[in-house]
Amino acid sequence: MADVLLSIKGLKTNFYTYTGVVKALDGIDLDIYKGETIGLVGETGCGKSVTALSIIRLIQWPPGKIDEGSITFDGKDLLKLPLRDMQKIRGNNISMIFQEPMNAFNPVYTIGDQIAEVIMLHQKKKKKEAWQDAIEMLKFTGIPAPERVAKSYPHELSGGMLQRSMIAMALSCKPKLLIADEPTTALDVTIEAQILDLMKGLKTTTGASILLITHDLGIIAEMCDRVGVMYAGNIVELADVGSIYKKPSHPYTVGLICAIPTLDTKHCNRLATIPGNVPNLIYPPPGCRFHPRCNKAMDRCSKEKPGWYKVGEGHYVSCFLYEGGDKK
Amino acid sequence: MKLRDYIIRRILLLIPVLIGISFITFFLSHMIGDPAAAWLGEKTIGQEEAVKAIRAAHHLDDPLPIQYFYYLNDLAHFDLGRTGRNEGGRPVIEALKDYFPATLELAILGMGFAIIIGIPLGILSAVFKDKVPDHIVRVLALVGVSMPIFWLGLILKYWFSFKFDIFPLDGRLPYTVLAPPKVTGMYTFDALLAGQFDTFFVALRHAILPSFCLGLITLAILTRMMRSSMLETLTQDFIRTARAKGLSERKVILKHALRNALTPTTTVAGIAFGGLLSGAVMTETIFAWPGIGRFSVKAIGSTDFASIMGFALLIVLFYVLSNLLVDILYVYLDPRVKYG
Amino acid sequence: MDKRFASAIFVVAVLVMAFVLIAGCTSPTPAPTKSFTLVEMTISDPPSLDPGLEYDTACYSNTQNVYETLVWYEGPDVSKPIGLLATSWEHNADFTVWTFKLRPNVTFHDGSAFNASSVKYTFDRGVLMNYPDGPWVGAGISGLLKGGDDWMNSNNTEADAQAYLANEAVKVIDDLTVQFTLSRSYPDWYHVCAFPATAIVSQVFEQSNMPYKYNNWTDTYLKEHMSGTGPFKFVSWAHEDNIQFVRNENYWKTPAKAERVVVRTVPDVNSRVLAFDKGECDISQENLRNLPVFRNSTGADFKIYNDTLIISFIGMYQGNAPFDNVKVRQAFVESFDYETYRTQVGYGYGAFMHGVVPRGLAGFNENIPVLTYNPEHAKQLLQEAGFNKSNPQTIVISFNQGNTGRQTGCLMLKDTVEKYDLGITLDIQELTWATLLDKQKKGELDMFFLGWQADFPTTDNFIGPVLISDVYFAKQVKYKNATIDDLYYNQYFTAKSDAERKQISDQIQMGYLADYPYIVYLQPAAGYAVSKNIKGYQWNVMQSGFMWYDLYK
Ligand SMILES: Nc1ncnc2c1ncn2[C@@H]1O[C@H](COP(=O)(O)OP(=O)(O)OP(=O)(O)O)[C@@H](O)[C@H]1O
Ligand SMILES: [Mg+2]
Repeated sequence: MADVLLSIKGLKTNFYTYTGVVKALDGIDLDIYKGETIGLVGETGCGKSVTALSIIRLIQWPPGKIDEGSITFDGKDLLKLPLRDMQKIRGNNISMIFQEPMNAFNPVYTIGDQIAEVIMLHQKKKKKEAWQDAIEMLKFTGIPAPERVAKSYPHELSGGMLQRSMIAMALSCKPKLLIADEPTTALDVTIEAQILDLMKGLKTTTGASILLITHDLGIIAEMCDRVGVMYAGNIVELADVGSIYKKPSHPYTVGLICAIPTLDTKHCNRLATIPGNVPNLIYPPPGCRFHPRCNKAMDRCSKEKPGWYKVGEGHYVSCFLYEGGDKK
Repeated sequence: MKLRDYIIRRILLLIPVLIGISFITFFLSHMIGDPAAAWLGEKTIGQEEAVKAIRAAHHLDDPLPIQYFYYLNDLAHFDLGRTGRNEGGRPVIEALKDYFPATLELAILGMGFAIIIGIPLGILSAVFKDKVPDHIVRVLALVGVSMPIFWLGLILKYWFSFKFDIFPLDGRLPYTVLAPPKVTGMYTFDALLAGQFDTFFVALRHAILPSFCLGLITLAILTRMMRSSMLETLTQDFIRTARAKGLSERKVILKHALRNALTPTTTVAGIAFGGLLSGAVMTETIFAWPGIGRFSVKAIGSTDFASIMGFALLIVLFYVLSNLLVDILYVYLDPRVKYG
Repeated sequence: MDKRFASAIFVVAVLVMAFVLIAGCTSPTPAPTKSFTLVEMTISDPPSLDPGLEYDTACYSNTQNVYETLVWYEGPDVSKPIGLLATSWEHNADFTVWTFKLRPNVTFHDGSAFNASSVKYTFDRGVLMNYPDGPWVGAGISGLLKGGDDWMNSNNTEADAQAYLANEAVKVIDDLTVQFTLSRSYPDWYHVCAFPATAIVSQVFEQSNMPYKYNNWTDTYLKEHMSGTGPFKFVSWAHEDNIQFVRNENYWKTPAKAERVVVRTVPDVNSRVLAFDKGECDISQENLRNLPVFRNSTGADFKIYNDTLIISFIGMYQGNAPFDNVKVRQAFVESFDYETYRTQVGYGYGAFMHGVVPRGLAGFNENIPVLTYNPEHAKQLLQEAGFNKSNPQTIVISFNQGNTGRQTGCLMLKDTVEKYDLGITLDIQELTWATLLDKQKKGELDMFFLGWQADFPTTDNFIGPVLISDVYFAKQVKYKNATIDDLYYNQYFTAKSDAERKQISDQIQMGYLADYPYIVYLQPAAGYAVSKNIKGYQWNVMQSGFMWYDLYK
């Protein structure tokens, strides 16, 4: 397999709130390879965004804090970098686009200003040059009148236009990793398709790796090379996109895939929903966090945390059902 | 709409506002009592002749609406009438010209203090939320809003002037220094205009304690306002975007958060400015500052209607103007806001 | 939060403070003047500086140092008149014609000469301006001059003015002799000529700048400008801020010691005390109620001045019940606790009144008994007058807003009277002047506080307004005693000698005692504060504040 661009090991992020410690990430392990698009799926609150924000260290203290783990990028542990050095990586080597394009831009500055700002910051360019680059970037994302858009304020543009601009801004410093946290959730379907097309094209033109966060398995299928399935602060299954649909292994993944009526459901007993509720992360279930909802739960599931087990080429599951398989 | 058209429209709108205010103050003030009796005071009790003469001279025997008509007619000619005996009966306009600049100067400097100190303190407090600087600032702000001005003024004078001779006790200038040539009537500004820097410093030195005293409550209010709107702004998505771009925390706060957080603070400041102008009596009394507040209290005390009304109209005028200024500032601060 | 940013904010804050302190420290401190500048602080600004228009001590306390009157007094004793701008005077047998010899070689600050026509100009000006609110009308000076009443009652046309002038009430005999013809006998005319409103103004100064008009007092040049013959010259007036004067080097006496005088308006008493203590204030006139504030002052002495021309009293409206009954009036006079009031409100200062003429004047007589507090007797009188529990009644007593001394008086009286348990309720009303006068006129107030500050140190200035049925206060409370009116109008002024006149005034005051028209409770004391290093101050009742000429360091 290709080179590892970024490697997350044992990442634990907690939120110290008044009601208790929210154990949002419970030891995440994830490698992102150069040039790949890796998806992250899971229900609301499972920790996808926290994972993304932890990577660029935008978990705000208080209340959030990365307590354990390492994130290796370019041979450096990002978690140990001084803030100044981290700021040189943000928006430059690793950049991020967010879910709500309407709110993600500062309402009081023009789009062009905001894009030029990041160019000026990381590439030490003069304002005029940076502005020119910004227009280039806007053009690159397929915006029809880039000069006009650059001079517009966020409230003057549509959501799709803003998300394109956001992508332009994120790509303006040619990042090695682009983190996209549900980039299309707030957009209507036709626009969503355009944005996804744009992102698909990006991979080929820029060669950047993409971490695509979504809870839409369809998008994963369309966009990603690999996918990680998250549940309550853990990645429970990690596989190539092909094998995850063919052979979902973790009971949670199975439940997730079977919940989609349009997909091939030969693994499913019935069109199922997963019983029970998302666990409270202040008092998470011991052992495997999924066990209270799992129809195949065993005694030990409530006592020990399962390790990683290999079920196929590049396909790993964190579930005792597969203990026979190779350890990762 | 063009800025100029907007300003013209707003100023034209001022006319009905002023007429409305004149109507209300006119009828309210004429309900208090007999203005002629008020003119006479204790010494001339029972001087029916004098009362009659004064009533006749001032149309006081006409029905109120007719009197109001006389007033409006004069007003249209920029004549606000004559002051009462307290001011020697000189034209109200002249008295306003004498006293208003002094108060305006205090209010501007007081607002300056409030902005220059209050806004950074508010930012500091928000940025260090729930940490020591925040606690200190919040206690100071609480003390600031609840401090009685009278007491504060005397304390300031006692410590900064009497004990440690840093600032003068009171007044606008030492009697040994000539006032700068009158342009605005505000000594600090006039001194600068005339290039008299010595006078400027002396005048500023005189103005610092009273304007601080006057501005303190506003300072505290702006601090609180700035803190809460800053906190609010800091939770916004675009702040996260700014950080994700790799901007330093200083840039995030001073460039991205500040401008957004300033909008509500500006509104409050605009309203507070009118309050500074009309609420300066205490400060003016303690610091022997010859301002409009003392004039208005004297006018009210002697039921001097023309002066009361002149004062009310002027304050309303500046109140509206400062709000207009705020509205114009808004457009600069927030491109989503349009004139209209 | 990065530290650099935090420190940046602190730096801003520190810079602001530093700027403020630098502005405070490094600016040039005004060089202390070597020669002596006298700083007076006052509570309020004068309404204007025209002595002929203002009827106000805040005005006279300034003008009396710039303008001079014909007559003044030797030291504090007003029974010893001396010439100021006059050198001598004489009168005819019935006190209707007075001839004054004037001081030669006196010039006004504008350089013009003082002479008989200056005197004529000043007196005619006062009469002809006919300001209903001013001293010439208010103090009755216009009416004393021949033809003055006719002019005041006329339409004040040019012809009316000429008619008044034709009387030659004020006549220039020669350059340094002037003659007044009065409308009636007035033995105390020379006291009128010591009143600050009659101080001589410069004809040339006013006429060359802005001539006054008959019956038009709204704008006069002298409201904001002064030119007199006195020891100080006017320099400038910043309203509500300060008024400045310099010494008149060409004064006809030795020039004053203070080279310069600054009168600053500092309304807050605590601030004045701080200024005294810091050495920035030399003198101030103070209300007696500020006495406690000055107790801890290190820079000022609080002085008490007892011989004021003031009497304080409570009027009882005799136009209707219950005060149309003399027994009720007597009961209320005996219900006022004079001693306690003086202790509480006057800090133990002030004199009880023997009659209505205060201590220090010719008509004062210690043998006239003071009013006394006698609640038992008062209760009995009220019972006799028909008050009883089963017939509750309310009596309205009012005072002018903010006068805490009078408020205390009301409360004391209420306390006493309601303890009688005769169904009487005292309704205390704190009113603004406007409302108070309005209600008083309509007879809605049963009792009200009054104060009278006389214009001249003359006996008739108290007897007249207080006891004579058609003059101010008596008219106001509807008090009439025909015998007293007759004594006053037909005998007092024409008495052949001072002794005879004194006898008549005694008779009037004794007569009034039986009528109980007022609760005359005090001749209040006045206060003033003087910096410890100021010397030479003295006081007489005709002063409206400090005579700067006397003061030195
Ligand atoms: N600021 C915070 N304070 C407290 N808890 C937080 C905070 N941010 C996230 N969490 C908790 O961390 C967990 C993971 O949240 P996260 O936002 O990563 O979910 P998500 O998978 O992105 O969900 P969604 O699909 O809704 O975006 C949640 O249980 C959430 O309650
Ligand atoms: Mg999320």
